[in-house]
Amino acid sequence: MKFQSPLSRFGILFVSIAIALLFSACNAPVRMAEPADWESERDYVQMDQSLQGQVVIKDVNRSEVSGNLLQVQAEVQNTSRRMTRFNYAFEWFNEDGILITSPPVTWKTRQIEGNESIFLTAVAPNPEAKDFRLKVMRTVSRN
Amino acid sequence: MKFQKLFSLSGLAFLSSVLLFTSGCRSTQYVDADGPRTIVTRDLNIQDWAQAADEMVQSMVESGVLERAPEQPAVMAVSQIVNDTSESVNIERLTGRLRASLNRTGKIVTTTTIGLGDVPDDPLAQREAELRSAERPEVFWTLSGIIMEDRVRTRRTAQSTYIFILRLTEVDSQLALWEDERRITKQESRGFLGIF
Repeated sequence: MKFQSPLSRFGILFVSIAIALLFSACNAPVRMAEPADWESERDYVQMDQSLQGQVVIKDVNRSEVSGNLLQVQAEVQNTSRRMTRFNYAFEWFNEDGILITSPPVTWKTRQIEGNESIFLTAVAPNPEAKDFRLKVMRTVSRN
Repeated sequence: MKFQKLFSLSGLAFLSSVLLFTSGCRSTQYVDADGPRTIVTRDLNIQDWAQAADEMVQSMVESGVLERAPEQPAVMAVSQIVNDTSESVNIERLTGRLRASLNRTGKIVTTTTIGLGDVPDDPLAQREAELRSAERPEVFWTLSGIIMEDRVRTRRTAQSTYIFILRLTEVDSQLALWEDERRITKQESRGFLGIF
């Protein structure tokens, strides 16, 4: 009786596991990292703790444009040598500290090269916005 | 005996793989449409329209051009915005958010009864206005533009760039007093096997 070599049986095993991993990983939607520990550096900046030591908010300035719209600019620096992608969003609050829900908070993605500084700017959606909060979290994409 | 053991091990692994495959792939859940967990593909996604619209409105407001209107809010009508991309999409995805954001600033209001080619956004409002002989709103601004696409590919990476160009024209002077361009670029790399 002729038996197959153990190598070919292990080959089948390897290929089947590889196929399963390929489909389970590549066919799933893009997932972002869990912002497990939000750490509040200031009351107007919230940063995902996984970015600590890699990305810092150096400065935040506020101004007014078009007469009565609050404008915010945050300087972000990558203190590491590696390129990093992150998501950020600005939340706007009225003078009573109530979140302005229209328009909804929109997250955007930015890329920052190693040791580079960039500016994030935003303009308040309406004249009622008197305060803000900047949220920053790491982007994890499987693409 | 040894062969049987190996064979049963292989079978077990194969069965586990099948179970992993079938149980891991099917999952449906709600995500925040404006949040960071939406799906990213090389085509224009919902977050791209939002980003383009938000950045255009921000640029318009920061330029100070909206202050030129003697009365605010000034009336704006949406003119032609050409979709010169390979994607068949409704431009309202861009203009809808733009109009809403501009309205919120208090600097601009948009008319729904004046449209390009005499096709208004709201035909009922236009008809009612005609029946009442209502005064036609005086349009101070018109918004026009184009969306273009650039696709390039290397052996393992494909890149799409979407170029949004918008112009705000002052009707009286017929001059584009504000114009800006935003680019959104995405890259897609092939996996190890080059299948996905």
